[in-house]
Amino acid sequence: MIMKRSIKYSVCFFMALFLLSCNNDELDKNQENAKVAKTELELAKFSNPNIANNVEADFENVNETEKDDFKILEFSAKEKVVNTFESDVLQNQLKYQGVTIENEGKSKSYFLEVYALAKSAVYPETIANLKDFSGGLNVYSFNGENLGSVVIRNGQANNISGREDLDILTKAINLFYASSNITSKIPLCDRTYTQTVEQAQDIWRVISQGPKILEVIYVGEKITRTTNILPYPCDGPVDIEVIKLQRIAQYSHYSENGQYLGDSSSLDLPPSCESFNFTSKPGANWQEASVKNIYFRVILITLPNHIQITQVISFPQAVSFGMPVDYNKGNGNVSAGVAATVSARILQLAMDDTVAKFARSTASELTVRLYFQEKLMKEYRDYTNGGIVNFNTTSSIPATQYKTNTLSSGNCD
Amino acid sequence: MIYEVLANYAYMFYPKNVCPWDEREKYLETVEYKRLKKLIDYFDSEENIKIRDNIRKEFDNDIILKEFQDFSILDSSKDRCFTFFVNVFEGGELLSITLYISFIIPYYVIKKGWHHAEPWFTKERIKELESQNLDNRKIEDLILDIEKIVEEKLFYQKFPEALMHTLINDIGFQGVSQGHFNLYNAFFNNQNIYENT
Repeated sequence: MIMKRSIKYSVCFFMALFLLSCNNDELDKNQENAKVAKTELELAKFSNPNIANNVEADFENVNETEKDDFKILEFSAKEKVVNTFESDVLQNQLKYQGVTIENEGKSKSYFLEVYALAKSAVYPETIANLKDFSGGLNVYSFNGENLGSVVIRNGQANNISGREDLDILTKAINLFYASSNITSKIPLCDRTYTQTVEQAQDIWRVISQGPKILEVIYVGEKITRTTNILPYPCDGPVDIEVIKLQRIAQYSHYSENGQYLGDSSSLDLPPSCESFNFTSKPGANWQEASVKNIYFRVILITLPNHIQITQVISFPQAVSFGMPVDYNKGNGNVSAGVAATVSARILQLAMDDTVAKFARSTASELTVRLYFQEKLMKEYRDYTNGGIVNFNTTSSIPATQYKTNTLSSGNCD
Repeated sequence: MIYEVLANYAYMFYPKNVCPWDEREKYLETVEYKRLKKLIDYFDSEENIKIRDNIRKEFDNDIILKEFQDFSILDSSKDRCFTFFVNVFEGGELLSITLYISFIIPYYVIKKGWHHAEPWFTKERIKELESQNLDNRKIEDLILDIEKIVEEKLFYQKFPEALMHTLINDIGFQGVSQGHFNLYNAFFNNQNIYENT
């Protein structure tokens, strides 16, 4: 019974963020901190489209650090579809994090977009341990106002924008800075340079009648450029680069009578966990569900005339999903409902990733289909600790019909 | 030459140029598929469950490897191998070792994997399990120990890594389309064997 409750608790978190922490005494305090951060942070208000549409915060794991008169609360955030880019100067991924700092009765909250120099250590996801880190923090308030940049060189912070709002953050980082005369990875150098990041966003209007899509209208392209001040990589290349982040699509959904239904990053409504009916195999530590008519849509461009088509990627045949029932030493047995909830979430992740990668590309239907299959199989194996997906199964388990939900994949536990 | 030997052997169990998606009914009626199914059913039968139980028992004397779980999916996925899976907790990460033992040819494959811990394990639980483990072997040491047992007690050989991804272009099976089917798929299962993490 306790085991069962434990796994339910876990999946509740998993539904939200795929991340979890449950630790007895610290839990109440952590939850309180999480509640504050959750109510204050409004990612959707950010003008940076990548943060507004593609970043999610993990409010369940709030770390607390105290030093001198500073109390620092930190939570991590990550991109749903991870952007990678090519750069001679920077590491190829951005990192995100939320920080609230309390000092002398004042409290300041910051949302950080982190650029790490190629030769720096990877950002450790805390401002309290930056001794091997060099890079730039593009700093926002929790409601999306860009407050400027803080430059870090081997752990030492510099409020390069001169904004008073950033003083408390700079001071907090420097609390943990201990100057060192040992050879540093990044040579000391006090110059900075400006980095431009370009993000292209395709805006679509989707008109539906129930689950049926009637029309998809391309509204236009929106390019957002942000500039960041970064420490100059003294021994690195001189030229200033423009980083291009991947295109993201925003679909605004409307009913046929013009009623606004909401925005999404996918043309389709998310898969429902009710699509999955997991059945345990007698005598084996394995459960399986079989789902038919899985589909999603992606807008592709056909050559040579560059015509946009809405391509339906469908799997009319039964696709089987299998995962263990018991994670030895883990949180206990995985109920059929938990397995369904997790499976729907992973299916959504693979669909979103595929759409983000191929929307408005000239890729063929087959390329998109194969990428999706590979992605789902890999993510399913990684997330379910050894689970498998079979796209053309001979399973005798009756296949259930694929269903979608209006807002999220739901909770079937 | 070994490619030709293995590919020709594979043709005994998989029909040439029959698409497992579009010609599914035809595929299931081929003599090659029926031969493969008969072999799989033999190893999946109630009376032969003891074969894989006995394999698993070979690891009973090892404090970590005795936790091997049987993840063989012979019915729906028509695996051509037995699959044994064990989690390893190292550096705060949830890792795994999977041992695949073919029952078509006397070869085995071992792969290590990385997994998202949540929601099956909490970070605290992984740390706890790691600290409780007094065995100082790392995942690579464990793999060497598995290889020793499989080779010395089961008399199996390691499937050549260089051949694993070699394609047999005129075969497809279940979810693996023609043009993507490789020697690993022929003798083990439908998975795409990724590089070790």
